[in-house]
Amino acid sequence: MVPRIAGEPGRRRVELDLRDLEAPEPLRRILEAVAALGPGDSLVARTPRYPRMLFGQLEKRGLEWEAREESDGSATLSIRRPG
Amino acid sequence: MQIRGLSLDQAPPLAIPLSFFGLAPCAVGGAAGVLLFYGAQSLVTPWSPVTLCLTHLGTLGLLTSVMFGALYQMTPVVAGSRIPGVRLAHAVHVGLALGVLFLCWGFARGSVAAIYVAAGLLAPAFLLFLIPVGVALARTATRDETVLGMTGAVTALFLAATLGLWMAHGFAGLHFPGPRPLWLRVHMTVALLGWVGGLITAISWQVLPMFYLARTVQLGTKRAIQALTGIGVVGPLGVLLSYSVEGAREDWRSAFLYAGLAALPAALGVWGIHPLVSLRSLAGRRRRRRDATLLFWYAGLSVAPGVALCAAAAVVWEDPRWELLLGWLAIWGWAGMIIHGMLSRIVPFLVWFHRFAPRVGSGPVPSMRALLPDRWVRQGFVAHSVSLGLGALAIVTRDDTSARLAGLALGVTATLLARSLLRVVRTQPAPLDSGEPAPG
Repeated sequence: MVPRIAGEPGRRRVELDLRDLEAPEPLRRILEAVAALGPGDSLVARTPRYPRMLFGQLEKRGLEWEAREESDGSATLSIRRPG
Repeated sequence: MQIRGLSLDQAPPLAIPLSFFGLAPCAVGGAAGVLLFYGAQSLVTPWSPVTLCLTHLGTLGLLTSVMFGALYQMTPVVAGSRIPGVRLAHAVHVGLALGVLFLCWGFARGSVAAIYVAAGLLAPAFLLFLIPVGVALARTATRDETVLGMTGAVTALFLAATLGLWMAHGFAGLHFPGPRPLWLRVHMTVALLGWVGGLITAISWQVLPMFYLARTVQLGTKRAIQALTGIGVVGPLGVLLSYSVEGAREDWRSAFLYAGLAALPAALGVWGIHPLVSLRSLAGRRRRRRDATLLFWYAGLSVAPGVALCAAAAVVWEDPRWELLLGWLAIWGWAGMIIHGMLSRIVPFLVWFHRFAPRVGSGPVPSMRALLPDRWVRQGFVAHSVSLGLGALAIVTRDDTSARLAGLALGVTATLLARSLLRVVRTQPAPLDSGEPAPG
């Protein structure tokens, strides 16, 4: 659950594994993390479930996102702040 | 599933699920009043008007109200399908609340007019609920076992409501459509196992992994439970239909026995296999945080096999206490406990999501436990458990004092539930520069 941050400012990529957190903690951690993203930065998060309720919140924050449901019921979410 | 940048924020306004959830403590309080006023008289036979009043405060006032609210919330979020005309939910809310009030008044006071008014309110309320939710479920592209379970439950509600409204004519003095005991029992089977059981099982597969990190139940097991439930709901309906088509016979008891046997697969799935696999999945939680809302799940799931045993005993033995115990344990034990636990978890979640999630990243946001402390949830659990035990004792011993004490404990349960819901609902975000949530 400790975020991994790699890359230079403007192209930073933050990684979060939130699969061991119950609702609404994954949602809260993702929204906290995206608040710190600069233009062009991105976040990749693994969530325990498909985070359908999160998408509206991302949209309201002007973020681009892509979600994929994994075979074990978890999901991989890629979020990017437009640069 | 891969979705890119598509808006799926289709959750209904917070007021819609909350308005239905708010009926729960009112119904529990009403049931408390019935037990306090009538005492053991309300627990003599399952089919006396006063007992039917108590039963419908549980099934319609508590269970169906909360399940309506849950379906308004879950259909767009889980099935990804918008409910057309969702604001009609406010009319459904009023129709359901007033309909239950008139129905229970009609039963308790023997008022035919009140039962007619109730039928006139409940029928449109059910239609205004069933049609839009049914359309949304039919349109969805998501076809997983939760959506399948929701669809099955809504279908069972339609059947149970049709039987119930038809029977209301019989109680209101018109010609009763066939042998009353058979109709009552088939109505109860479809309502309890198809509607309540179908939805509780389907929702548990979402809620337990989401809120408690319980292990996911195998797909084959889910499908088996749903198949058994479907067979066990259709079977008794078939018995009722064949009995009605062939004309009234003297010996309706053989039809009652066949209907009971036909319901066995559903009882096995809902009250046998589902609790077992759910308790196993909870035992394998990935993170074992203490959470008082889980107590309700453990209690409700543990009571379920007892409900099945009472159902089996009621088919074999004529002592009315078996059926009374079946109804009491099913409504206030198995389903009532689970619904009470879900309210204690989902209402804080929804309030947090609607009011505080937009603030995350721009200021301090309270935790869900800050919205509803574990201690409050635990107090509600104790009161609910005491009322359940006292009610069961009153049924077995036919003791008037126990029945009235069960009413008192239900009254405490209703008060504590109302207090918890009010605390959560009144919590509003403080101005951004303050940081603390402001009650009221």
